[in-house]
Amino acid sequence: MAEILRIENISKSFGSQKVLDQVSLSISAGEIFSILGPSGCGKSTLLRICGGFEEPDEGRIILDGEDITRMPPHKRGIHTVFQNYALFPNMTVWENIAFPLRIAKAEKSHIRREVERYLELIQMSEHAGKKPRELSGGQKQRVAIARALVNRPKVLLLDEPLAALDLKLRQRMLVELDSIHEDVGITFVYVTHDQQEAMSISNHIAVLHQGIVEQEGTPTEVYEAPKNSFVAAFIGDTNFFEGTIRDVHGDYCILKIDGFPSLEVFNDKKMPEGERAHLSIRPEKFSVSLEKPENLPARTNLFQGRVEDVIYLGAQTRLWIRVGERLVSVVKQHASFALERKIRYRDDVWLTWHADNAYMLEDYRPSDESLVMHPDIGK
Amino acid sequence: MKDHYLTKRSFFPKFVTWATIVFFYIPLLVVAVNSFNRSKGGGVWKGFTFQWYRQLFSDSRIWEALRNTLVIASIATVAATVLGTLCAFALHRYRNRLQKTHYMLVYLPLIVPDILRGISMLLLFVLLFAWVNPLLRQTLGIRMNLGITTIIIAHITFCLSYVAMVVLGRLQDFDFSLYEAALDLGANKFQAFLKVVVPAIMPGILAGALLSFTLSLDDYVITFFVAGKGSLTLPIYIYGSMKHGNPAVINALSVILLIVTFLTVYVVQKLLEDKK
Repeated sequence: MAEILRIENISKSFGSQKVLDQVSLSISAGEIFSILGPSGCGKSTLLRICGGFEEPDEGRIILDGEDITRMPPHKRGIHTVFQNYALFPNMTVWENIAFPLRIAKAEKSHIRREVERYLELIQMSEHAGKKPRELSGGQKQRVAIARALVNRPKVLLLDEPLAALDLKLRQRMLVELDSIHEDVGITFVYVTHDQQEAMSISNHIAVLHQGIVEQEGTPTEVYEAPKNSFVAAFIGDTNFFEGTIRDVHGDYCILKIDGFPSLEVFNDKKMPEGERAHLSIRPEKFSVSLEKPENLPARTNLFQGRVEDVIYLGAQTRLWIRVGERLVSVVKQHASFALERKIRYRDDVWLTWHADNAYMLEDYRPSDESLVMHPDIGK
Repeated sequence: MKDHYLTKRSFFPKFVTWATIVFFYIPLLVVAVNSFNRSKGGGVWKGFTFQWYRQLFSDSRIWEALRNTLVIASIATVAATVLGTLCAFALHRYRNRLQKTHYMLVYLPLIVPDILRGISMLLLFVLLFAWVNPLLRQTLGIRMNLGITTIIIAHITFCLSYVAMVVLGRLQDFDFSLYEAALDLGANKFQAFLKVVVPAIMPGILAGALLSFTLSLDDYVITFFVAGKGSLTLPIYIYGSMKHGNPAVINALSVILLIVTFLTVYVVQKLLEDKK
């Protein structure tokens, strides 16, 4: 797909604090591109630079082949949906949506047609005459989106658009956003700190952390093949293991871990013998059973542990299982309810895990351990 | 437990309310009653009369003073409202090291005593005239004097501060992401200001304008210093009449002014309600 927006080596500091450090991203026409990161990672600043409200210290913003880095906001073909909606309180819903068209001096008949069309798209036709303060959060959100789309920008920026809504509404708006995107075909750049939102709506995700792009890729790539410990821990949950590479055989090797059984793992990074390696294993990749499993496929690791904590979550149960000196986080899906005996606190269980279901990290920072879920078990 | 304490009927609030009303409005009532009193000096009631109103409407000096006052108040209000609004916007929007100083410069005139401002204005004008009048006489054959123009300038200077402070208060409640949203949606700075910021701060602007108008209307001290020939204003005339003329006519005039003021406030209130 053709590139519509290019963010090129953008750096920005506020005082002595570097908020963005050489950020480069390429966004294709028509996609939903998410910029995902914890608060304070620089994602809002990046959005404000794209919108024209901040100037970068270094780097360029290219929109559809044109350098817009120093262009004032009202001349860019980029519109923003603000986190607090920023609807004009003195105007009705209709007037709010008509605002960009009126400013652009569009013809009256064109304005009427387009506003009606977008009112229909967001299912707000019967609320056209209301003032923003008479609307609910979700309705305000829809009006803000329609207003930003009506003049057909080349790119729509969305700054945490659902952050102010409650969970159920957030999920519904996410589905609506997706269908609006399909209808209008405009490129969305979606900024959020919520990894589930980003995963469910985007074609591509860039994970931003402390002003640096940690990883960019499709939601599956970012989840299944995290490059480093931050991405692995920030998106979903995981277990980190550190060990020494031993006995390399073909694509596989043995990872020797202190205080834990040795694991046979997929060595996709072609690490040589004796090297230190860090492994990320997602909790749902383990399977857990009370009986010792028979007829395991080749390269399946099997080890024993004892359940130290059980958290029932409805669709699944999270277990903390002590194996050697480690507590392993395991998520068990509930396939059937009545037939199996439930796993309880203090049960001795068998854990199996296949060598292909882990990912070796290119980079590991101990500080990222704090992002991983830990049980609150008193010693 | 607390409910009992809070809902207990108390005599005190009622007393304070009535005391305030009496304290505020009895003097006005006395003026109104006296304007119909046949007795010239007030004091005792000597019968009902429209005499003072008739006298008021036939006195050309009063009408001249009223016209001057209205002209001054109107021009000063419009100028002070525009300048004061822009001033508030600048104070709120642009941040730099001198921001506190700027704020103080606008705020200070509100606390400087009128008499000091009157004197300083007079000194400034006299100094200015001494400097420019020889030049003007040589080139255009005219000279500048104290008069309506100097009064207007003086009134603008103090009304501006009031407008700026009232509008600034309104701006501080204004969500500036609305301004950014307007820019984002294609409006230039001027359009964004006019279509989004101004409507939001309109109540503040109107309140500032109203305040300016009343302040200018009844200003005595500053006007007294910078007035000249042919620039008689109502407050100055009233003060003179109270001392050397007929106070009863002034009572009649006061009642008319009172009615006009109440009507103005009422209309502005109505306008603001419609906005909401």
